[in-house]
Amino acid sequence: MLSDPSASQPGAGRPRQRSNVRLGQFLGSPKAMLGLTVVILFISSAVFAPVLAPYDPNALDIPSRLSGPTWAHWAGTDQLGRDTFSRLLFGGRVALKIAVIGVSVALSTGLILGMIAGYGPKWLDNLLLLAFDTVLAFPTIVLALATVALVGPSLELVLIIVIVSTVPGYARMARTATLALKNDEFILAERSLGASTPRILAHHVLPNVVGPLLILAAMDVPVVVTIEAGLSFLGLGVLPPTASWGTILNEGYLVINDAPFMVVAAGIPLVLTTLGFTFLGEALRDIFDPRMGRGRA
Amino acid sequence: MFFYLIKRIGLSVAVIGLVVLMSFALLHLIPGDPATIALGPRASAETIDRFTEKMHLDEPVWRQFLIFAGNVVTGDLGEDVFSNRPVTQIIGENIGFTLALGAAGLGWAILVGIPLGCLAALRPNSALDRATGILSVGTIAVPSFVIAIWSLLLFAVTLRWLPAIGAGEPGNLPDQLAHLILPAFALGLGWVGYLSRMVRASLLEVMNEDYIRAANAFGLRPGRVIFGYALRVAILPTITLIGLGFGGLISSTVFAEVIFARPGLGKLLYDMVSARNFPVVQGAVLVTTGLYITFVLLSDLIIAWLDPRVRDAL
Amino acid sequence: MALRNTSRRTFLAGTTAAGALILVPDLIGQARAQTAGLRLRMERDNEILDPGYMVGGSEVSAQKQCLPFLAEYDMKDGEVSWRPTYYVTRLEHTDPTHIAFELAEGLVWSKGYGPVTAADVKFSYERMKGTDWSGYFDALDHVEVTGDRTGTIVLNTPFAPFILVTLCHGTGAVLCEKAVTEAGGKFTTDFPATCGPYLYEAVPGQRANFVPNPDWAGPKPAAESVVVQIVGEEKAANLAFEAGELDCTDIGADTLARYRTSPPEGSEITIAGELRYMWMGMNTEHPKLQDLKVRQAIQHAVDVDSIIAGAYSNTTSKSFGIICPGLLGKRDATKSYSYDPEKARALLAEAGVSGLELTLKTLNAQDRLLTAQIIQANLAAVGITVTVLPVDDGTFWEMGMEESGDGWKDLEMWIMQFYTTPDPYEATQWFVSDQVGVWNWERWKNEEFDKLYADGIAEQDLAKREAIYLRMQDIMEETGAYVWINHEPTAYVHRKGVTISTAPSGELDYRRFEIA
Repeated sequence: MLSDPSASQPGAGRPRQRSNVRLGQFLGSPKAMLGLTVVILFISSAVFAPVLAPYDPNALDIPSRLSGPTWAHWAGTDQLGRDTFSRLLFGGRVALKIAVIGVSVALSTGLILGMIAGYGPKWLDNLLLLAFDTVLAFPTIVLALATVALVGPSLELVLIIVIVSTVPGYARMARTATLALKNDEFILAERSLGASTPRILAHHVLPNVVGPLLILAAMDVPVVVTIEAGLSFLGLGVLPPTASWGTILNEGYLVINDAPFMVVAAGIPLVLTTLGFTFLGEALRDIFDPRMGRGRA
Repeated sequence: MFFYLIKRIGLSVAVIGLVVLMSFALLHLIPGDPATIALGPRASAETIDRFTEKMHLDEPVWRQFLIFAGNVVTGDLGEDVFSNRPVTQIIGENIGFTLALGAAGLGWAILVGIPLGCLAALRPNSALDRATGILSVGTIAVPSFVIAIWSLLLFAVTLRWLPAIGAGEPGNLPDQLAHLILPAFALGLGWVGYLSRMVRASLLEVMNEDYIRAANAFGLRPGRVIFGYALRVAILPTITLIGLGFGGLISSTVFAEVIFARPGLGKLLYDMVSARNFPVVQGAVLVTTGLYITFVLLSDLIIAWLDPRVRDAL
Repeated sequence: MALRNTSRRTFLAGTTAAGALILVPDLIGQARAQTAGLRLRMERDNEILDPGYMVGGSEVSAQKQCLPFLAEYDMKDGEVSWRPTYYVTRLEHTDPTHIAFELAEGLVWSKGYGPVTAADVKFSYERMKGTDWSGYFDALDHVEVTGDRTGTIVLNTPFAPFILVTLCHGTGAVLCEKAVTEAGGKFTTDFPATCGPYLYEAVPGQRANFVPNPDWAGPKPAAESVVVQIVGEEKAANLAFEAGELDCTDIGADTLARYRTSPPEGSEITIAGELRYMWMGMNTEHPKLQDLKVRQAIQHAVDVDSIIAGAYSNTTSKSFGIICPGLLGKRDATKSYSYDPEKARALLAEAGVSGLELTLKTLNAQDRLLTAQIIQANLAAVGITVTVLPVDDGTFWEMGMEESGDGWKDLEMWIMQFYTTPDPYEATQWFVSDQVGVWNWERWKNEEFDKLYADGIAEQDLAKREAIYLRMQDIMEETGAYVWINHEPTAYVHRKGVTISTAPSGELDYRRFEIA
């Protein structure tokens, strides 16, 4: 965790030419197109879930409980006869919410902390690095379990866990890029002309740092979605009757003998979404920043 | 090397110190009586009195922390609220299962992933390479608990090939191994993809370096070049990855242990959170994070030992 | 379950390191063949084995293996009665308030605590009056010791069911006075001294082992040893049973429904009894629920039939009170409410309440969460917004207890299930005025109810006794604080050839299992 694999790479400050070439590369990559399609499908199905869902996700229909896939219920029904397909669509909204809020807050917090660490005094840098490493030392689920033990489960808690555990990744990357730029001639010149630190950071460092961070963000979405689903699976996430992919999976796990189809149906959107974002993130990385590598959080 | 060693271990100790501080602070940040919070609502008055005395809750907070840290260092993690058994002992009973699961999961992933990566690197852009590429992204992206549930459904519920729950009978090795297969499979699958990609990428990079080109030019067989020279260098980032990934592995063991009702640290933590048995929760958190930090440290030290360039980077 | 092929098994053990998948089905077969003794399941660790402070369930099972009892259940053709155990040579009513007993000869406590004496019986039963389970001993006056092994249990009222209700349950366990006193007067996860066919060892979080007691001179149980594994999830236990890893496990409603149509090969189902009652309770002192009309509206709004279908696969019988099927005083219908959303809306309008928001707390278990979500939907239909809050069992059982803090003040609605013994008085004891803030979380007091409770214990005439318990349930229903839900059967699936022994309330007694 201290031998940052990206430490020796400049990564930023490259001229912005060839953007058309890159776009062409992106459009030509089957991986990128596949990823993009799934991601668009995911986002639009979550946004338009109220329109797309054939049933109210929380409407009970006890006589038709635990049915397998039928024409009326494409993905079957759960123990209360609720339509699993509709619940999966609405579960996507929870995943999207966590992904959008979690990743954007983590990204901006990480960006700011990373730039401070990279540009600020050495002692502050060391202090922040120690803090990041401490957070990274907690396996995410262990951190979540420990916190839930003290304050009880909620969706807000899931968000906080997601943010806390992903911030160090962004911060480390932003720090490395900032460090590389710090002694760039151009920035030295700006500073000698009397530009303030916030101004230098905002106008010169930020634009160069944000690119790789966005790619990291795309690759973090599946991680975040998985954390939410995993915590909800363990009963540490959303409260009933809210549908989340994790709770549907858990409900299916509990009737795995009686209605095996449910865990299959509940896993599919989760797998597709994580695959889609991973493909997209990888394609972006291959095209824009081939040397960027990253360990598993 | 010596300087690096000191610096690196010092940092790890600092992180562990902070982790201990955080688990101490958690109980004090929550409003209410620390004894009641630490022991949970179900502890008897006697247990609370004993705890208050043992933790010196009547003394200043900084002294309490020193006592707590001192206890942790000497391996005293407190007592279970209900049975009054030492937490260290309870963790000792469970840790073996988790380590066995982790080793089995990672072990099969290494046995399959690294050769797969080598094969892919031997013939870049061949059909095999592409297939490995897609397969590995696929396995990396799929959450381990989905794999666990799906494999439970397929192999235990539908086909009935493998046992569904538990860790097997104590002292019965074949039974225990049979119980290990499904959870280890679920745990390791993502790693197969990770490792093969990492090995492939770093092998390709190494193969472009001058001395390997020279070896190739001298007509050495490709297999010999790869396994004799290139892999030795290319394995380095993989070791880092394994060390870093241990945290993720611990998270995955929680799911594998819960889904397969298998004893272990993760299951212990999950159950004790439900039972609000805080001393055990605290102990299990400390031990898992401690394990993680140790693994990262070890992998860093191995790298530094193998590759002098890394030592200067710190 | 004999060894099939030892040499082959040893060979396999040597080669498994290779982990070849082809060998796996064989591995399991071999592993299963090696098992000796019974393999059972419990849901959680035995936390308190002390009969005075136990939670119940598997703890009672453990007591029955390791401690002397004077009486045990005798179940024939659905009739529940009692009979003396191996531990006594005499146990009988000499008159309605006196029960004479004589302990068998040669009963010895473990760990060198000497013979089991009548003084131990006196100590054990009289101490129960000061414990969490004192309600079971309300009728006990004292125990007279008349010799080393003889004595008389003296009741303060002529309470006929005393032996069946109190002495056959875990509460009737006899403890070793000396050992318990040395242990500080109570104990938790280990017995200070035992006297039974098995010794008890627990591996917390994993299993409890019952191994043969070398000092035991009494009848040998059918199973040489018993391993009770902790399997938290009932579904996981069902999977384990189907995979042949357990010999017997309890099954929930969904599984029971499925096994009735297609039981796993070589298995049988045994229903222990329906001695459980579940209800949704309301805190009558909570500001939002103080108005009787609001509570009555909620009683009318809940569709109990759909709970029984949706959460319990129609395998449980509908409940109309706290007295369970088969017992004196079981009601056949509710008097003042039935499912009627129109009436519920009218009552809410009468009370002048709109936009009511309530919290429903439940144990974090699948059937309860389903029940809660049906109630949530039912109440939404009459304009009440309900938040369902799953609570872990670490905190659930304290929600309404005054001694556990101020949490009871915020308690609004909850789903509760109690187990009972085969006499109606047991279920009524938790709702008398003294129990407010202990187990009467609904927090109502009624003088007539308290008087009827005392009358019910003393009454000898069956018809009059029945009338008393029917009236007590009328009073409960009129508080508006109860929506009665169901009586869940305790059902077990087990291997053919294993005859299980359970209490009517569902606790297994391993020593009385029969193995063909």
